[in-house]
Amino acid sequence: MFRGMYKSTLPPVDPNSLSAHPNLADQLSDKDYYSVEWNQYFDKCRDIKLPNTENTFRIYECNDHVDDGNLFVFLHGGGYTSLSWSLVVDKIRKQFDNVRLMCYDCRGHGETKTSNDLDLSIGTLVDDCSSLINHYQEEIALKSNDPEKNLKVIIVGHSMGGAVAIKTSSSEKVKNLMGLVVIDVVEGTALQALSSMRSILAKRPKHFESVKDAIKWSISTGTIKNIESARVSVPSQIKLSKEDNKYHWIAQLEKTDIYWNDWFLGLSKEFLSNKVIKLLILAGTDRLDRELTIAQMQGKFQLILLPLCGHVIQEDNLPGINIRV
Amino acid sequence: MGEFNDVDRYISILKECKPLSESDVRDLCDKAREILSKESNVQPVRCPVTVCGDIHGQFHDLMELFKIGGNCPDTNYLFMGDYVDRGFYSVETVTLLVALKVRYKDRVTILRGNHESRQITQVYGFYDECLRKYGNPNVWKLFTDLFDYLPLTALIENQVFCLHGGLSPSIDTLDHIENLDRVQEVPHEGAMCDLLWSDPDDRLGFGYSPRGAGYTFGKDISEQFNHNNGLTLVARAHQLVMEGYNWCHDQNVVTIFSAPNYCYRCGNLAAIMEIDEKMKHTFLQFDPAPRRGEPHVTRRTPDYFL
Repeated sequence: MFRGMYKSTLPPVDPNSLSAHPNLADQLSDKDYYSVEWNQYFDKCRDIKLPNTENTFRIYECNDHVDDGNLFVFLHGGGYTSLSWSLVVDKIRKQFDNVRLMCYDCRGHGETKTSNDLDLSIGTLVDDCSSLINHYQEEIALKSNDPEKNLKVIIVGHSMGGAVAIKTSSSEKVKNLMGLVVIDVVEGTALQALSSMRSILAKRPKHFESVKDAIKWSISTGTIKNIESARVSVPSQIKLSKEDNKYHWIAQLEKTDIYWNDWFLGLSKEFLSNKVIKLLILAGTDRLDRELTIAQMQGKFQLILLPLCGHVIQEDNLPGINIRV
Repeated sequence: MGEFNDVDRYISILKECKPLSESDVRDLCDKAREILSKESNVQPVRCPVTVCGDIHGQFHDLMELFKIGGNCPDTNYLFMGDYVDRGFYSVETVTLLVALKVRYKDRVTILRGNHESRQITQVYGFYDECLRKYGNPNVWKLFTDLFDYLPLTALIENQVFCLHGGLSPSIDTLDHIENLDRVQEVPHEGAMCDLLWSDPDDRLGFGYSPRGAGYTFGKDISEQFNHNNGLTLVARAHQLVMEGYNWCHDQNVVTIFSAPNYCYRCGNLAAIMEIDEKMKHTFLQFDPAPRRGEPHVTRRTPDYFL
């Protein structure tokens, strides 16, 4: 399957597009910063309460008639939500009606509610991921009256979600896991970048007057380079506070910094030693650390580079990613 | 000697690690295409010859290679592809190798690697480097058009088969390779793709490559291929090996990698393989060249979110 993705070819890059990086914000006007609902991109949205826990996860699905074959589970990065995958998922469902797609809001993010929303320790995130996927599979089996039903799982993770994807795969807790797609997360580079993360978070506005302002902010800072994605993704990251009638970030990332290091520690080794099919998607070769550079040059995994993107590759470069998945 | 005046001038400029003008590159590529288009998909090579693996734009290490292996034309060379991308001097490196080919066409053989392609060079650095050094993509276009003419494989004295990647399930004999139409962009599948992308593996038979292109091939495949074609050895590049060279498949296959401290971060040795007039081979390993005036390697820290 991954082989097929590659073969469907890298779209030839327009030589002109590489030289110029026009500032998107300059081309947009105020009326462009409207928000869009999830249902433009997903078939369904519902909540799953995991048995014997107080944890209810918000999930978004496409192609839920599929109970055989492949299930893609998408894990968003820190601060984002499922809706970060909107455009990718929509594109995939239009191309393939035979793969099932599921995104969930991670603990402490979006519409998910747990007993401890600040516990973003890697162990907890891995448990959440594996329990949710296994529960989801059981649901499908139950519905189809076939206890043997078990879709082949491919986990796609971005950044923090990529780390969770890799560590979940190593934990071997997910049944029938077949593949791993990791987007823009590399141990050496991530650990190096962590020190600046606190100041980047501190520089973010604490709140916005309106949803429109938040969308505008994400585009003008280049956090997201695609307005269509920002319209659906950004509103899900903020909520209106009754106290000051302003929109605040839902994920309280700055309170979770004790966990960040562990997300990424040992990641390269674990990625390489994972037995499942592996695909790494990066915004540039600069992102590879020594271990992965060697492994890539020894042909140990598939690497795809999408050099025009920012960190949120799946939102920025839609054609680049979806064609492969 | 008059016919080589220009090329000699090119070589002396390039040896100082300076790029040629666009019009000189155009002239050079015209001359090179003339020569390469007459070469065969399995280009015959005589011994003695020194066989080299990936270079990847590490110009100063290529100079080190010539210091260790001997200068052109005193030493005959066979390069197995991947001249561009990743290093800082893809332009100077590939221009020099093409110039040496034009100047000493019977003493220098240059094969095609998987990076000698329009698609790969657009993401791994050569395209950007051309833009940076020339202000337009013309030189990139000239070279990538030329790459289509590079031979895919070489055969030293009918015994040692040299290529960038490895074997292909759609190829049993060297005749199959001769029959390929090579003058095209490296395709995403099929024999030509496999020759440039495949890797030897511990598992027997052919398997899908984790790279997403080409295959892995086992010892049984290498033994059979060498036996069928009367070969003693497959020499190939494509994979980083920490010692610069690495035997596998019971000495049916050797990997040679000639970019020391690859990407300025991997800490590997480089190697080349000398084959003498009696077909005896010797490996020469080397470290990175001492760096003078090379930009200090700083990686951009991404504007990460978590």
